[in-house]
Amino acid sequence: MKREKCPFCGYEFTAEEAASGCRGCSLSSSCGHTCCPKCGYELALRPWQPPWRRRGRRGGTRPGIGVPESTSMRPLTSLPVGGTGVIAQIGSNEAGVLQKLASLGLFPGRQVKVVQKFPAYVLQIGHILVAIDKDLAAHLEVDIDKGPALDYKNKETKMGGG
Amino acid sequence: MSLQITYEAPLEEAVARICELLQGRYPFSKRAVALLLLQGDAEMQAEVAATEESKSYELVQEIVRQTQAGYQRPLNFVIAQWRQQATADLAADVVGQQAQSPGRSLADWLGWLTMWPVTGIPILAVVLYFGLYQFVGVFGAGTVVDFLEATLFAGYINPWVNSTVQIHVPWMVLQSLIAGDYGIITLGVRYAVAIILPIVGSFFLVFSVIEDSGYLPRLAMLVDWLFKRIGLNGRAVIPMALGFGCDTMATLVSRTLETRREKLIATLLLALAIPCSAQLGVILALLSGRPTAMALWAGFLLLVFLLVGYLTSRLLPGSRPSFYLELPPLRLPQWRNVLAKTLIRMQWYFIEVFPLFVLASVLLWAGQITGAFGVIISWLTPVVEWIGLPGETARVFLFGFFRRDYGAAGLYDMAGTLTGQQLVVAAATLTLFVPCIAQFSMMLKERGWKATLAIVVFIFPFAFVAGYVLNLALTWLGVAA
Amino acid sequence: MAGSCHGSPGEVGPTGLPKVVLVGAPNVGKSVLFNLLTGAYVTVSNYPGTTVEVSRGRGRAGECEFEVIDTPGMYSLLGISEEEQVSRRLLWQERPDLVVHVMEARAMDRSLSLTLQLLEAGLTVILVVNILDEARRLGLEVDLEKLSRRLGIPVVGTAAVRGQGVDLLKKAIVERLTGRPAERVAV
Repeated sequence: MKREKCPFCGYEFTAEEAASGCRGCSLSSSCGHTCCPKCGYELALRPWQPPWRRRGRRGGTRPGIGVPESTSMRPLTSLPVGGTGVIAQIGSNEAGVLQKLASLGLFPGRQVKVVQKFPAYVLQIGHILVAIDKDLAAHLEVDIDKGPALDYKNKETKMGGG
Repeated sequence: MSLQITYEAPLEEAVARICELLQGRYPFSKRAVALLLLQGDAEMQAEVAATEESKSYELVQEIVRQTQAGYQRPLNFVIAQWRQQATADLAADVVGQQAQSPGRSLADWLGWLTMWPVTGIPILAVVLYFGLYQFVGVFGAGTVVDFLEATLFAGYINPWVNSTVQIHVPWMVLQSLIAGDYGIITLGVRYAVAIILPIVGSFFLVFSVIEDSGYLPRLAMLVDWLFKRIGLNGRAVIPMALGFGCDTMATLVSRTLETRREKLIATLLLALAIPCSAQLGVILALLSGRPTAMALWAGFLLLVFLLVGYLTSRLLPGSRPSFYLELPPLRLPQWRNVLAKTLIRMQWYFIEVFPLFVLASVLLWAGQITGAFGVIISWLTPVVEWIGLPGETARVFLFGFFRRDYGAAGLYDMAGTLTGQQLVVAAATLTLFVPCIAQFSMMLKERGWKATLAIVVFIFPFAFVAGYVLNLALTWLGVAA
Repeated sequence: MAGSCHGSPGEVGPTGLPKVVLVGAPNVGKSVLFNLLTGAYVTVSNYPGTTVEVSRGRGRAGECEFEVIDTPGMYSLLGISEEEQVSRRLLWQERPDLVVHVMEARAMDRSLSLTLQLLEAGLTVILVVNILDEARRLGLEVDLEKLSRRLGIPVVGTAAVRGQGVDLLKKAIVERLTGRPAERVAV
């Protein structure tokens, strides 16, 4: 089976795998696009377009369905230095990984800025800098459009006297 | 009344049910105990299992299992996230963000420069040059040692001890235990006070300054990539850097590493390729007039460090270590904290390591008296000659077994008779050679006899084979050191 | 007089003095505060069975004498590192009369999580927001009074390196130890 490689996150997938992401879309058989099942980046199956054109086409290319929410989601490792995003998901269910990330304050909803990518990932969370290795960074998926949900305000939290 | 947060219903329900089952008295509230149990805290499980009846503990475990079954994520994460939301809300309510004062402070700039590899590595080199070489090597191991050793001990204390002992102690055997070439005071105490104290003290001072400045986490981040290749993570830079002060202390500190595999690799590398400050001081002094020799020695050790680390990480099973660390801002260290830390470490050093110096003196004395040394030296002589060194250096290696620095100091005494190449080979082999008695006993305590035995059995032949290869390579290449 | 300020029923250490334990994340200036609270008589030992150093000293504020214990850095009661586990064990075993949680404003949203856990555990807590000078430079303003109101515990702002706020902290400690109703303290 022919494999596609996502130009954004480098994830390789089959057309079948990608089709699961297109379920429910009336244009899925004829639009000539597919979405990377990992990061949601939309790529044209043909004709090939240079990367700088692809960037410009992000979102809004499917008439009638609006911008799918997933297009602004991508792996943290795909952000450039200086890029920011809100942690949307942690792609691991391992208690150790989650606890390590949590100890640094890396929870879904936190806004992070990529300060450095080599030799390790340096992230800025508020006024704090933390360093994590690539393996841990790879578990983080960020939303680059969304405002921070956890960054003060907006969150109703049940509080009671005790 | 102080603030208590309420978790979502299933969690609260589980907490209430667990609290009902807990009958014992605990230092923490039952609510906190219940929450820690839900988060799978091993220590708390043991604590509760020991306090409660086994039946109610089983019920508690069942509640934890049931609650976990209702969530996709591990409960410790669910609870932490819930608490984090409450905290963020609280912080948002009380912390206001005003416009930041424009421009970065000097500390901020330095902070960025230490993290960026292009500037970070030169900065590391500067820190090593001034901190390690100039302060510990030249000042501590040079100026201060010269004063204490040559002026104080050789000039006053040793002659006085020797003559006093000769007058008051009638037996030759006892005389040589206390005074003379291998005496407890003239050798053991002299080494401890005149050589080790200033070198180790100046190292601990530098280390405390670096530690308190917030530089170590940045260094850890910078070397993480390299350390991953040798089966460690960036955090291991702390025991490794400490090893340049005292390998014994560093072996102890290596237990803060996460996995058994990392601990084992760190212990091996500390025993093999990291010279302690006492040894380092003497070797730096020995090679100080010969920059090529020093570069060859340092380069060779770095090569061995990386190569052995790489091979060990390939051979030892286990998962890749992970690296996660907060990077605090660079701050000016507080002299009071720095002094306190330095004194604490020196105190530890004297309590833990000093008695072993005395023991080493006694063993050296016993070896000399019984003639056992003569036998061992005669075994070692051909080995030493095989790596291109004069037979007399066998004595130096034997001493190195007792204290790393004894060996290096012995080499210092014979420096005049050795060629540059022989000096490099001798210094490198001696650095690789077995750890000192104190480190050996710490390895036994921390890693167990099996691992320790394996490490020592590996190091002993490896040091000489490496020395042989180095000698051969230097001869072939015709490098004049 | 020693022990004169001991008003709470907690267990008394071998020194007979009430115990004040300093906790908080690494690099928030705990040891600077520890040095300011204690005098010259400080002992440092490895916590039993570990390499982790724990400092103990004697503090004095007015008529009140107390034992101060400095703990290794900790982010959460559910610790990952050996340091965190030691700090937790210390809180559990030493039965402190008072816990002083030190944090910096820079990392407040993360650090308050430990405060909530300490309160959950039923410990008597004073909150210290340290390094306020640096926070101001970053444009952060902390409403200490509001924080104290919401948490229901005394909150003290300090810049320990400059010695600012230490007197207020001492006052808050005495008030808590003597069992008098804690005043809300702020700078």
